[in-house]
Amino acid sequence: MSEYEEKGADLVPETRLRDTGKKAARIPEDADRRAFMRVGITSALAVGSVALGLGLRARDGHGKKKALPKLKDHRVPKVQGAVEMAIVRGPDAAANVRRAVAAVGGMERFVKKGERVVVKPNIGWNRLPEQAANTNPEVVAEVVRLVAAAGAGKVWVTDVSVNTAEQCFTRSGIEKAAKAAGAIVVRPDAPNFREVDVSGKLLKTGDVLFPFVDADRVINVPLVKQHGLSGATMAMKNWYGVLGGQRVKLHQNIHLSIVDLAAMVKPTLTILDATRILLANGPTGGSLADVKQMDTIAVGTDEVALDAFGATLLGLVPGDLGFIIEGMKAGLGTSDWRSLKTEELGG
Amino acid sequence: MRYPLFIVLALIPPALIGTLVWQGRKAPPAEKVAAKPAGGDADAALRALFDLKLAAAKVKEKVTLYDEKGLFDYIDGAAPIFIERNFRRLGATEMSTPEGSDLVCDVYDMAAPENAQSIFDKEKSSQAKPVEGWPGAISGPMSFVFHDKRYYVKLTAFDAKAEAALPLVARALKEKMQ
Amino acid sequence: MFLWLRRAYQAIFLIFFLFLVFATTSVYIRGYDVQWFLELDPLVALTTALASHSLHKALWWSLPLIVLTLVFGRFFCSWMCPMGVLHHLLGHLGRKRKVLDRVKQNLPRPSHKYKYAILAVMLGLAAAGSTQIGLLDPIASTWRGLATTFLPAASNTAYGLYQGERHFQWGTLISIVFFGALALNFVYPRFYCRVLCPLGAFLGLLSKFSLFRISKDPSKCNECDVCGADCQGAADPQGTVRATECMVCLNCTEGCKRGGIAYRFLPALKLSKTQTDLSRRKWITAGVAGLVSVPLARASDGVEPRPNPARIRPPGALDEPDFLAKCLKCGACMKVCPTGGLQPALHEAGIEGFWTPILIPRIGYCEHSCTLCGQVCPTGAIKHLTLAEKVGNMPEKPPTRIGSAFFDKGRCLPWGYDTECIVCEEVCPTSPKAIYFKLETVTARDGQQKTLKYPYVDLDHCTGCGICETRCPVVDRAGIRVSAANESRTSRSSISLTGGKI
Repeated sequence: MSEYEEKGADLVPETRLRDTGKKAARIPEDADRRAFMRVGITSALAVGSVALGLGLRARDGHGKKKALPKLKDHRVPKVQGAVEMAIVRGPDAAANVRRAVAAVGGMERFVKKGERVVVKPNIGWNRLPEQAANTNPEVVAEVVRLVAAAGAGKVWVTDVSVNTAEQCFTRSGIEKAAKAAGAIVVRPDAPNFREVDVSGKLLKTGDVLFPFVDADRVINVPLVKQHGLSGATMAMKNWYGVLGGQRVKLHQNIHLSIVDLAAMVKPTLTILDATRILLANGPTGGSLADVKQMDTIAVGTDEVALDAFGATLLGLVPGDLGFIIEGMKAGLGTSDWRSLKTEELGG
Repeated sequence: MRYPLFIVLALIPPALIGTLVWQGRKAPPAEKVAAKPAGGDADAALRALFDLKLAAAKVKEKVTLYDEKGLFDYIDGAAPIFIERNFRRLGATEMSTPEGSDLVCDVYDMAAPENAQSIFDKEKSSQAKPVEGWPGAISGPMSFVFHDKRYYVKLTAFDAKAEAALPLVARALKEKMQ
Repeated sequence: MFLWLRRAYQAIFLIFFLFLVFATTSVYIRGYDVQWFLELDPLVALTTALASHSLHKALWWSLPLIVLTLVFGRFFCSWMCPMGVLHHLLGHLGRKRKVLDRVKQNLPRPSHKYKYAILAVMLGLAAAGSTQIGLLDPIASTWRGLATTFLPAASNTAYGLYQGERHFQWGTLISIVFFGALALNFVYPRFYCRVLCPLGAFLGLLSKFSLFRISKDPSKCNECDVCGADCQGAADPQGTVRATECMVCLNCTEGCKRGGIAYRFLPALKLSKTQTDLSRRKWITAGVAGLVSVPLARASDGVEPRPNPARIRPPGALDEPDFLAKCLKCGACMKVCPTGGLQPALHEAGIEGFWTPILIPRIGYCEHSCTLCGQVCPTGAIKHLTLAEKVGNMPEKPPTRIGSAFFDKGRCLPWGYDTECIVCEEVCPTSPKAIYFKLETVTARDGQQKTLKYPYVDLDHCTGCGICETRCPVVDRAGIRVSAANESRTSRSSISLTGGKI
């Protein structure tokens, strides 16, 4: 029998504590520590849950309020008396590009050292270069070379294709030519899009490829094609290619949407590729019978004027094209391209 | 015995897989789109045949081109025998001699020489006379028919003066086709 | 030593297989023979030859494997088969820990004879013209499981880095079958290989009288049963080795510490059992069952008389009876299709066409200048067209048609709602375009006069590629839809009187 059982069951616990001496001293410490831990853990959980709740609530409200980025104004200041538009004709497309750009002041006028530049050709369709559905790869490569030579920090080449991007980029020859000239080719994959504020008459927001958000300068390199709905697709319509998402809805008001997009981008320079143009069955083309070899390059900063010039190559009247009228109304330029200071070279 | 066998077996997968991967590394060459534009050049070539600098007869109006649908409108029930021989296009026009006699000139582009030969043989009537020195031609009353390269030509006159001009027109066309 | 060689073979062939599957995209494919494993598969060669009375030339690769199996036994299952390696790995994970428990797991069971019955059914089906071997063939099943379920899931999770966003309709069913088979390894190792695999059954039959075989040296045996602890094929090495079940994994040779089990050249016949457990009567019954189910299936669904408008086959596909005699439902064409438009059919092609490829234009269209599906088809069910054959050269040469587009004028924006659109005309890839428009002036609801472009389909030029339906802005059901009518692979599908132009 233990000494406690000997002394009887009515012994109060305090007696036991006194008898064990050392043990008595320890128990209050243990009790305090345990109590401290319990209080501590409970308060930490309480504070934590409140903090988490507040944090999640803040995030929810935060997302709705976040402002969408807008595209920069990529234009360079006008120079008094400078040539505003150059048209060059000749058998060598790359040479045409060089001469035309030189005529408007050289790429150095438009791209400063270290600037990030995006070159935007038309890579919309799964076609070979000779079918004139995409920009001539030689023209794209030459533009990239000129931009790089002017000291650009980064040169992107990109477009949002209509057909499968992989096949458009390779079969058009543009990816290979651009990479060889030193550009970073950006495919229109899902992670590459950013939501931006368009603030147009028709379009409020849109998903745009990141190079257009990040770049300091934007160079438009479209080609000249007939288009069933808009009549023609040239410089201004090329900006469809910055958009991802449900852009097929834009056709319900095609001319206004073209102008909204052209107004959003405000490019630095436009190099209109009319080496091979598509006269019929555009914008997809396909038959070589619809292609006409024109061996022409037109360069300028007024997209409306360049589109008006391109329209004449297709045998169309600029005043018949809705987006040219709307573009003038929006103050993007003039359709009377002859009124600009123009230089024409080559026969 | 075991070690050589081991080594042989050990080498088989790398050799096999290596060959398959090596063979596959080259992408198959990108096929070109049809080099000959459907329609374009051939139509222009057909029209160009009528550009004859001939005194005996001159083209009165512009040349009309007919495709398969148009062919039915032009020659009605005779169309199927052309179509089943890969008929591509008909260039038809009226010509007139200096005296004012008319003749009709039909040039059929049959897409290939075999087809032109075939339709020539099919349409040849028993009354047709061969033309001396020209195996690919026959002449009949008020008509002259020949084939050369992928073309099949039918010339029809309406009076004796025009009939006399037919062989001259035929020869001029033949020369244009070379 | 040879055991390590076997493991090396398993690793290298699995990696090679995964490389080939991974490379089957429009970006990576180059000229790789991505279907090498299926071309090697003798059962694919046998069933498609039986069903179609012709042998696709690539399938001659199966001959060396047949010869090697006749000599060396069923080594393919342990040394090369990608499904086999996966099941071996999982079976290893799912094995019991104690040796005696493992011996029990690997005992031969009556259910192991079912794979022979399945083989007989498959051969019966093939003899009647229907190739269904792809449903259970291990290589075709692994192809399908990876191509339509695992790799899309992985790619979609990784922000579409590999192949963009990909979805395959009712892929969950395929997942259940594929991963379900893998999960059966936790019942006992290599459940699929022992009970269900028809290729294993066929190779087993070929190994009946193989020249090399595992055999026991009775003088060294002390009946410890350890040799059976890791036997992959449940071939009973501790008793009389079953030649048709043994996969030559060589685990038993290591298991026996006395050197009593070895892979020998021409061992005594009485040391191995060469009969399968399936009686001759059951063989015949199974074969006949396969044979008669084909006319039964065709009486219910029909192959030609009432084709489903949704049965839009890939360009280059053979006429339907020949297609069903060759398609393995391997999913390679679905994987390589750059737009993801080729999808596994459910009911659209009848029960025989279950999981065969059909185009669903709302999901993806057929790229005009692309012939990749024909490039990767291992049996020639989809012919590899040249670009000229696919695109044609109008007006002389018509293109390959897989169907035709038809307007739903109640949904099309101009036709139904007096609203400008014609995206369909814009994206139509043919030259001249198969969609043209006419200018018409109409009075809108508010009384205003509107002049709009109204689109029409030109059936002479329409190839049925479906890009119009894919891009039509009318969500869910499009305002222009493609159906299989007028497909060029069969004259019965033609709308026009003359079978050519309308």
